Amino acid sequence: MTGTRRSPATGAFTIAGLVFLWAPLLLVALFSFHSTGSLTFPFEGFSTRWYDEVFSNEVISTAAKNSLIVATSTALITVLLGTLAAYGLTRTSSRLRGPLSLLFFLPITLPGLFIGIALLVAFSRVEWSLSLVTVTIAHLVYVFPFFFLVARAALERLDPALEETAADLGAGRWTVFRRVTLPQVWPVLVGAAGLAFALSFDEFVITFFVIGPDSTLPLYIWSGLRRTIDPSINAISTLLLAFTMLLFVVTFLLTTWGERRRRGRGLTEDPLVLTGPAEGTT
Amino acid sequence: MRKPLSIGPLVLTAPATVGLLLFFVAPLVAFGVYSFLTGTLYDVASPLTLDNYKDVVETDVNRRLARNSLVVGGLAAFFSVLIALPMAYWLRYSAGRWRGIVLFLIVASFLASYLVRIFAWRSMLGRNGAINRGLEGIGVIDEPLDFLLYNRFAVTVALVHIFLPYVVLVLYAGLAPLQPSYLETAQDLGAGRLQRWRRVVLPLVAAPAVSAFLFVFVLSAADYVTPQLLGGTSGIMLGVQVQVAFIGTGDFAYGAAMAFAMLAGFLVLYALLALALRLTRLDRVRFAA
Amino acid sequence: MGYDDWVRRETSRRRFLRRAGVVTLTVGAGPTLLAACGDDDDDGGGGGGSTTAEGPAQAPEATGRVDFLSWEGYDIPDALKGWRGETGVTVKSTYIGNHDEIQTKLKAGGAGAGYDIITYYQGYKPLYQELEILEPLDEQKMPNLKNLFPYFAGDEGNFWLDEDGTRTGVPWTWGSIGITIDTRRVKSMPTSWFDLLEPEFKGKVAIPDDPTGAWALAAHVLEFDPAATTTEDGEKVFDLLSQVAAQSTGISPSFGDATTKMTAGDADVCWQGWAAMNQFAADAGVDSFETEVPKEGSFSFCDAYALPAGSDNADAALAMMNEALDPKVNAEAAVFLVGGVTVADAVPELPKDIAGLYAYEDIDALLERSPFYNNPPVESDEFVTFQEVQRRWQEIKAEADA
Repeated sequence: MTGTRRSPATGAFTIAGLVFLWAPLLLVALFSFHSTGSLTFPFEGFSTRWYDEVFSNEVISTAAKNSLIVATSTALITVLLGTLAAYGLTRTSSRLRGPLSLLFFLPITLPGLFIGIALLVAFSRVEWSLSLVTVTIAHLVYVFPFFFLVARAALERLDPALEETAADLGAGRWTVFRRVTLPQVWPVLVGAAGLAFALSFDEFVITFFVIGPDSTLPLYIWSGLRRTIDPSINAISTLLLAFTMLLFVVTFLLTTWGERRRRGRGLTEDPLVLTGPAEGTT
Repeated sequence: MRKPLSIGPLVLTAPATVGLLLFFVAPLVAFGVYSFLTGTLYDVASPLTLDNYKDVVETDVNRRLARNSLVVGGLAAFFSVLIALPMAYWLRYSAGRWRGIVLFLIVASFLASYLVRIFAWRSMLGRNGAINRGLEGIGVIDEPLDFLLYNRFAVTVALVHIFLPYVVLVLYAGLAPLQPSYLETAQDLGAGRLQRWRRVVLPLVAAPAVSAFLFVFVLSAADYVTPQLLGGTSGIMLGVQVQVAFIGTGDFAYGAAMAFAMLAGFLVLYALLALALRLTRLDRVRFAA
Repeated sequence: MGYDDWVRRETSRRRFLRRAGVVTLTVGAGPTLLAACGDDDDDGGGGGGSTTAEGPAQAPEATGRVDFLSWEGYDIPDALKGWRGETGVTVKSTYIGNHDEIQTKLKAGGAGAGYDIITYYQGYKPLYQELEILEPLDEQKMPNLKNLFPYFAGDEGNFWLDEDGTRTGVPWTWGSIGITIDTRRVKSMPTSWFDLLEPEFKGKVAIPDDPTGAWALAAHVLEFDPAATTTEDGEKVFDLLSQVAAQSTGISPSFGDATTKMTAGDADVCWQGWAAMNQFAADAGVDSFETEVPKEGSFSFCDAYALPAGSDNADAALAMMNEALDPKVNAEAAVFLVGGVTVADAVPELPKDIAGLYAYEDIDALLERSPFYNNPPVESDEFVTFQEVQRRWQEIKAEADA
């Protein structure tokens, strides 16, 4: 049910929140078109020179490619492992639930630098040579708690009655998951996957230590800051933002369209509504 | 109530568990051992000792930075949750057709590069920044405000900016089972808005809110990049000490002790908050079937 | 290493020493060199190579991949493009955010880290040797070494050569520190470092985050040797640094950052400024920066390429280092990094503004006023140590209450 309750207070808050979130980002985009190399006001004029520089720079494109590979792999594997883990943890009554929850939360409590060096030492001990693979592994460790927290919040709040009914009607566990659980939570999981992607893409502290003779984009930017800070980093960031947003819109449209086709007439709802017992869909 | 899926599910956590045990717990336990050894240059040597931990706790600068971490981390976490809650509420109940777009915009803002964002805040908060220029332009102030940047305030603002989208997502997920009809029923039964919040919304959202709070706190307290760029001399936090230990002085043992001391602190906080939740009985989600 | 190689090495060393005006007995040096040669064989491909007849130095056949670990830009991708095209060498780089990350990664990762080129600031040589990070460089494979200014060829300093003539580094870019001001707000250039402590600069001083540099500058200003400052004198140095930090709105993580602070109006002068900042600011549309060395002088820094232990493609690495000393390449690098050239013939290749950064016609005088220093020692009972500097710098960074 698209329950719309008028609530001007929270609506105002949301607008303020959106402004707060996007104002700096719009500033980033603005300065990416700056005709001079300054990142502060006064704004002298428009130019695409920084984009030209970014596109003609091979080092940047190599670094960006590496970042993309790692972030995509990390996001995909995290979604898989994280959804499984969250589903498992919220559907079990085992006493291991508490300790496992703690384990899944643990990686964020240690500084990234520490994890990076510890992994480096570990990899070197077992003579596992450094590469984008070791980076992905390290990122998985780092990103997992973020995804898990969201997935768990989403999954544990589903009314078990729906799933039980489906199971009673003879549906196997996988079918229950696929046709009852997943449709209710997938938008949130996609959002969390996006977050996982962004976290991995942006990471440079752990990455530096476990990477082979490569660089990712944030490593390039962070190192380049030493010499000079110019709007080319704004250009890179704006491009990235536009690109990932586009990616998400496309993914979302595709999945929604797919959902709609599969459900046929059944789905008249906005798929982002997290349904509960009162809404009956088969 | 029969739970048909009670034993099997645990198996699903296996891949993640094994992965974390192998690539996280094992290397870190090995490193934990380091914290009891003696640090030599970018390496460790055998005399076992507790000195590292002693130094961690007794150094003045660590205490000062720990205080900073508590304050900044706490404020960042608090404001993140405070601002995210109404936003999540609106998304769940009042968004209607706008839900998809707004949620997308919120999550998308997370996709902006971390480093570039921090520089954007400098453009906003600096003497010649957007805020100062705006205020001067409309005549509210004559001189640029100096206290906006290079201090704890700037660091806190930037951290909230970074974590807000995430907290919104967590709380939105948390509000899922609370049907609008329950709220309407409560309203019909005479509960005022505040009461509805306190007795219906809050209990449901308490656990995810506390988890999100903890997340933001832990990550903020250990951050060392944001404070260096925005914190001036007063906004530096504890995370930088780990960096100095490992990279600057090459004392792996001290660095390990530092990291584990911080971990211990966070675990204490986690335990306290979990206890508080259990005592107020806000930790379990109950359904009125 | 065979006899022929020893002869080659010994001859080139003698040739070098003769150039430097030092006569030496060769008999006694024999066993030492043989022993050194023996060590070379242990690592993969460093130093040795095939036995060739004694002859002029020649760059080796470079192929394959060179793995680079240092600052972004230090792999001079554009300047070396031609060379890479000719030789077919590919360069893969990991970029650092802090110089000390190099030794951290190499030590924690073991020799398996597998990089072929790193760089080091001149003062880091003793530390890196103690950490056993550096491999000797075969001068026979780097004919362009003859292009170096005498100062950088190792006549004076021992930052890139050991006493027995073993080369550890190839200096290729450098710079000098000074006071940088933004003339839009600061009308006259301060003549002394101590001017920056005046009340007029309170809250207006930018400082880059460079513990060893900050230490070296403050020690130099107080007329101590940064590499040999007694603990007692050290307190005076830390005190001066605290005072400077109190004049600032925080330590900038980089020169780029300090520049941005100044162009944005959040700072007016830079302690430990750099002529390159003038250029950075100009790129940002601010032409008003000036940098001068005040009366007390300052210090200079120089980056050198080096061969880390565990390298698996030493020949290509040496060839790349050699190429960096080609006058045209060295000049192009200096333009790109807004720095100094170490090769005499590169000066005519420089555009006017880059050539004007440093007084090349009397480089010795410049370097005497602003010398290259060693880092503080790693272990010492009487002098302030490297770790102590790092630790105290963090405390200074975190000091002020705002």
